[in-house]
Amino acid sequence: MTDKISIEFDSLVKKIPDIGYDWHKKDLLINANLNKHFIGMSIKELPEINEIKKDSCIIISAGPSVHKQQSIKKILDSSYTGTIIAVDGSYASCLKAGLFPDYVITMDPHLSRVVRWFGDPDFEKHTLNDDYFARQDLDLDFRDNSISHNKEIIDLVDKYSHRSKLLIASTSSSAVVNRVINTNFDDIYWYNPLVDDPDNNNSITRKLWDLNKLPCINTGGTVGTVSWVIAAAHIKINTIGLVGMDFGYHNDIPFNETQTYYELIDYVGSDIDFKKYFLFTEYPISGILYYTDPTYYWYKKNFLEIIDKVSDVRTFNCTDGGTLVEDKIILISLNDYLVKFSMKDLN
Amino acid sequence: MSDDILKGNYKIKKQIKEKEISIDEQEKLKEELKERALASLGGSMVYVERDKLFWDGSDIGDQIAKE
Repeated sequence: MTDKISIEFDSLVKKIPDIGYDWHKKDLLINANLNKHFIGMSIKELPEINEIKKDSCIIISAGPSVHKQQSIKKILDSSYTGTIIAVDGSYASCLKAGLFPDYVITMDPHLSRVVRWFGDPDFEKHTLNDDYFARQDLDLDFRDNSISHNKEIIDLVDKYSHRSKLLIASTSSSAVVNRVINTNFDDIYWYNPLVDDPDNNNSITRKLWDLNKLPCINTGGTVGTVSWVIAAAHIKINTIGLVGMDFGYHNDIPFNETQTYYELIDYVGSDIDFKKYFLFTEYPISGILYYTDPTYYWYKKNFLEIIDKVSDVRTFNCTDGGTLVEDKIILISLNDYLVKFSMKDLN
Repeated sequence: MSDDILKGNYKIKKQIKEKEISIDEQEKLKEELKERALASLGGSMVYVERDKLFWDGSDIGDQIAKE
């Protein structure tokens, strides 16, 4: 059950597409121009996978439930044989636990933050005056912003990146591109984000395509959603389990530790009534309350729109929490999903 | 600790004026903060195109989605 949406919440959600477009459009083209000389294989060149891997997949997003529910450990302890896809934000957690994803997907064009997920060679410069990682809640080690933790990620990625295929947006930052091409990913596949209608005048999508001729994929605004699109439509997997796709926060996380807390204060003013900008949902399997902010709600809305566009795909929410409680998504515990789609069920 | 202790016990020749921020500048600063906030609220990637799922320089992408 979800609370009623306030007028203020709804009004902000409606503004997000234009806000995002205005904010990102310049960086997208700058980044794509800088990256064009590094582009090798296109996502269209992804090799076919075997039937066992094609039977099902798990997308590990970077929501707080991954940590709270020990989802990666559950996957490792199971006999799951399907495909594992990690978004950039969960990759380090996978490696730390000893799970080597088949695919790692990155998309966000942010100039200095995203590279942290791969270990940042310019850590001190990039973290100066930025408390983003102090407010993320997947891997609490990132909160300390420590040099030693960053070094651990650099070492892990250097050691194990050859075991995963990297799928990267042409609009990723130079910091990310320099890092991933200088570590040990053997197979890097590129795609363009489809950000606007290519038939429109001055379309950014068309400019990206003119620049590099890579296929353009609608991202729904977040790396978890583009991972679903790639799994369903490019790798052609029709059973998809979602892990860490919280689209929100556990009830015990204080508002001031959410990712848009200060931004909401700046936007609304210091007299903000947070009850109007956070929306609570009860997760039916556990009865625990979760809440979402306008940005995560927008991501969720987009995700639900996007998954309607590919037919014959079953989507299971195995997050074991969060706000993705919708008719078109099958709710199931991760343990049940792992049993249901393990090797022994194939035989 | 009393403020008096922290006061200088000498006089400076040059008068230092505190920079006054005009109401216009304050408004501009407020707008800048708001803009910055909107940037973070605006998501990790643009999503304004709601019809097409793929595009590859032609209409092929739309067909892939329907397969």
